[in-house]
Amino acid sequence: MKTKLFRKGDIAVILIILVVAAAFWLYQSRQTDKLEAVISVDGKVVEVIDLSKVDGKRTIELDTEPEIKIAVENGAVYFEEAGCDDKLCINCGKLSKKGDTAVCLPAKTVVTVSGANVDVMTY
Amino acid sequence: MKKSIAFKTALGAILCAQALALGFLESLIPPIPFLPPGAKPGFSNIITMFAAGSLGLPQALAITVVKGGFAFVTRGFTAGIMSLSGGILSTLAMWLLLKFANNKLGLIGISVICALCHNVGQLGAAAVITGSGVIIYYAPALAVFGIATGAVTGIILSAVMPVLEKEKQHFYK
Repeated sequence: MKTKLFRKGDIAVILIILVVAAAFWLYQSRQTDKLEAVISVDGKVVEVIDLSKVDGKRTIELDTEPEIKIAVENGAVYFEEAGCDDKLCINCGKLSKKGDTAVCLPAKTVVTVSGANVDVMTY
Repeated sequence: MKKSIAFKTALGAILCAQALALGFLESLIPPIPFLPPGAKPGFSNIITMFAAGSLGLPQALAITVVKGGFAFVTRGFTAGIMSLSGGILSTLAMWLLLKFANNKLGLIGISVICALCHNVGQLGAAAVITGSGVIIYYAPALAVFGIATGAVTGIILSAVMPVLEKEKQHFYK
């Protein structure tokens, strides 16, 4: 294999990726509407919680396989307990900004924070 | 006995073992804060990339499938699907780029693109499994992380290339 370690094209590749990622990220963070936690299992929304209206802590237990416990507290939503092995969803930590997402693949469960009116955009 | 099937198979098996060992080693790295959960350095791609560039597409795909099968057996169905979806897409990209773009891109650039293809494949599979597209929000963080790990993988590959070529010479006399 005679490929060189580095060529000028590599810089272009890295810059393009950075610019696209930054643009995508900016686009996400600019939408700051009312925040809602959307919990869906297997593609179906099972629960929508208005994060600004939750006082104190509230937990939601889902009888998925493995079982999952999701908590809502101080404008944030997070996986509290999960019966899976890797605990990736718990490691995602607290989700409080629009676009924050945590996924438990074994239980096919997605928790995401979305704005109330996603399809209305103002520039 | 030039390039006989037995020799190819033996070399392939050794490369598979090396890829799995690297995969195991990186599983020992604890989760790092600030990084997207589940993001991994992908060191085993060093081996697949060598195979794609030096041995050809069938060998590289075989290693990818063994890796996927290993994930399936040891870590379950979802892990297997995630490994295969990302692995096959990135191996195809690797092979195409090493074959047709190696006068424009270096190992770093190719490795970065492959890391990205790995992400795309996995996010796609995850979107299908969860039946929801919101997982795309992971993409920017994964892409930036992928640049770093892709570059590291490319650098390591160029460093270990002589050793791997020597390993190959034992079998391809």
